[in-house]
Amino acid sequence: MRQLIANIKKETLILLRDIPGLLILFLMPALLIIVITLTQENAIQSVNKSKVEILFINHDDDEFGEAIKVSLDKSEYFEVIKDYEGKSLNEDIFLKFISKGEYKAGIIIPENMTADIISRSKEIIHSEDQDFDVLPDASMIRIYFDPAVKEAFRRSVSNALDMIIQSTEIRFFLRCFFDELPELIDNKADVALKKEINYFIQRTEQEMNSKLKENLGDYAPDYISLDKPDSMNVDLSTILQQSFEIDLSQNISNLAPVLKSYANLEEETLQPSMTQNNVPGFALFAMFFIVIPLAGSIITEKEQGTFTRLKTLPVLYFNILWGKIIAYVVVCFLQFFLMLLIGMFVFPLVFGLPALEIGSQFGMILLATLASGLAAVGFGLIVGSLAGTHNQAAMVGSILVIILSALGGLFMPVYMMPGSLKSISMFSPIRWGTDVYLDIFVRNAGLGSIWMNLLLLILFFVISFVITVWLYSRKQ
Amino acid sequence: MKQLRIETDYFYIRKQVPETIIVIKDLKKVYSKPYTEALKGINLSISKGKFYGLLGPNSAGKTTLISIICGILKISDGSVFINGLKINGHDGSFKKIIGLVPQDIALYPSLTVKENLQYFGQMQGLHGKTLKDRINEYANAMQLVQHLNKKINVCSGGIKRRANIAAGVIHNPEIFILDEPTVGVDTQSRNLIFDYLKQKNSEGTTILYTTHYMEEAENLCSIVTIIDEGNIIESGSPTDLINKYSGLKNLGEVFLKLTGKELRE
Repeated sequence: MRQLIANIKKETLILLRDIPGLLILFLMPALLIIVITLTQENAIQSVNKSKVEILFINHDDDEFGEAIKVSLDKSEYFEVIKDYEGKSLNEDIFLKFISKGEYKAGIIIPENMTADIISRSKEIIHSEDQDFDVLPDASMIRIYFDPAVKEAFRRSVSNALDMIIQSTEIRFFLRCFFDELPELIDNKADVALKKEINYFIQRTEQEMNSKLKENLGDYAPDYISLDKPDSMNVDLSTILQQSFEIDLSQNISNLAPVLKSYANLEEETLQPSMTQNNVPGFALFAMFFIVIPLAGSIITEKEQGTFTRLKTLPVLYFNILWGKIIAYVVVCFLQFFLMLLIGMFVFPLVFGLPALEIGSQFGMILLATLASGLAAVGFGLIVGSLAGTHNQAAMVGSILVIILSALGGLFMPVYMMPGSLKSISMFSPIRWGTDVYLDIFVRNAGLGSIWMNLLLLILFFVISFVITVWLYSRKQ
Repeated sequence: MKQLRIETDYFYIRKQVPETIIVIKDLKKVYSKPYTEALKGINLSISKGKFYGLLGPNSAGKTTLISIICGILKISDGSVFINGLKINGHDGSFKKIIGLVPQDIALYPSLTVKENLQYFGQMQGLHGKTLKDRINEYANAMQLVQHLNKKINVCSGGIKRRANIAAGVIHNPEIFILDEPTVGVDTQSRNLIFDYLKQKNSEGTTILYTTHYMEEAENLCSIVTIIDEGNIIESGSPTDLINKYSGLKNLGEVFLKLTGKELRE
């Protein structure tokens, strides 16, 4: 028993005196749980509370367009953006914002939508031939999405917009239907007359057969039927009911036709998919996990004395560091190309998922991989320089990568995060890298669009490198 | 003014002892965390071709002194000259004439003996045939030929020690600095190492050697310096030191007399 107590005391003292170990044990999991919980919590909030900013252009300037806007405003799901710098949005700015990902969705109501919908409603009510002509795009309600949004988000927003459009359509149809009801009833008056005739024919038929039976007895012929149209067997209310139901199920969705597409300013349109949205995030995640072997290599050198020996050699520490940097950046390239191969071949061939399309910006892909690889290696250098042991480096490194990835939108898209977390996510190099790849893969972006994030990644590397060299000189 | 005086002292020492290869003047080293005065003003000059022993109990300052001479640690105060080159604010060129064999096995465990020798040779500027010849030379001298393709992490302690020495001096430096190179080594390997060091010393290589084994120092070194608590407390040839303290039979007894029998940190 005494030995057990002595062992417990020893372990407790060792733990209490290991400040970095305590930080790892308590601070890191605390940070992790905060970040992950906030992102997950916001997933639920985003469905229930958080509003999605949606760009809105109303060319209709009439009741239908206004009704859609009012419905969007009343919805707890959307915040309608109609203006830019005090002026109404035009289609060029609208498409630019969405294609660049500054806003995730937008809706354009075409001209004369109200008049068109009334005209089509009347057509449904009065006409037997209810197949409408195919409309040009400009005459349809157009809904655009940022090509980089995740499929689940796109579907959720799309369904919410469908509900708003359809409920507005039904309201317009019913209003039109009741407006047209008196005329409809007038038109059906002949049906009422026919019903009377039908009744008269039926009575005549019955009386005639009855008299024949009575006069001719067994010589009377079988029951003689008089010809009459089918419609005469159905009363007016049934006709209306049937007509109403058929019209609703077959044509109501054609009243306000909707065109959904991804906003893309480039000539070449890339079709975003789950694969294209996921590969960049996980490629960055993999690259930053290089922290484990890289920091491990630095710590091994420190622990085993090779680092001491290296310091006695007539070689600059820069050269030793650059040896590591180049080797590990090459590993990052290999990791990235492995992820590309999985996206391009394994997903479609093995799992039947859409294949990754990488667009035509190959130079930008190489540049992005270089910048991301350098940032990942810089991160590994800092962790390796600060950590005292392998365990510290492995735990701090891996937990930080998970936190940076969560902030970078790996588990929950950044645009669904709450404002404060969204602001913090701007400091995650994994987010910078992911955004660069998304821009290239799904927006076909060139250097003009991605330079800022590239610069941030390279700056992150430079700062990490300088800190590493400073820590080295400080330890002398 | 102080710097000028130190450099003037250096030229004075060089003038008095022209063959001096290491000159240490008023050297101080202070560690901030925790505050420790590791060296409290060391003055030392080591002549070319000497087998020089640096002795001292634990925490005496031996490793700190060696680390400063090798450029691993910065100097808090004073100066160190290696073959006329001042190492304060050095450009690293003095490092070409020294070869450190650290106390730890400072080799990459997952690389083979040969790969380690190649790497450290390349870091010293060797390449091509010169490097290949040098690896063969040291593999023969340290009897590593059969083990060249073994990874360090599967080698025995003796092979690791011999490879550690070969990696430290593969560039044939003018000064060998060996920090307890025979710790944990069997008698056979130890004898091999001694023979090799004696041979290099006889060829003109200056050797600065630290050890806790007094019989090693007595047998190998032409001059020993005993330091304790950051100060030099005695210096001279082993024989002179034994004679100086009458009644003492060997260097070990001299060492204990000078440093005391109290246990150190």
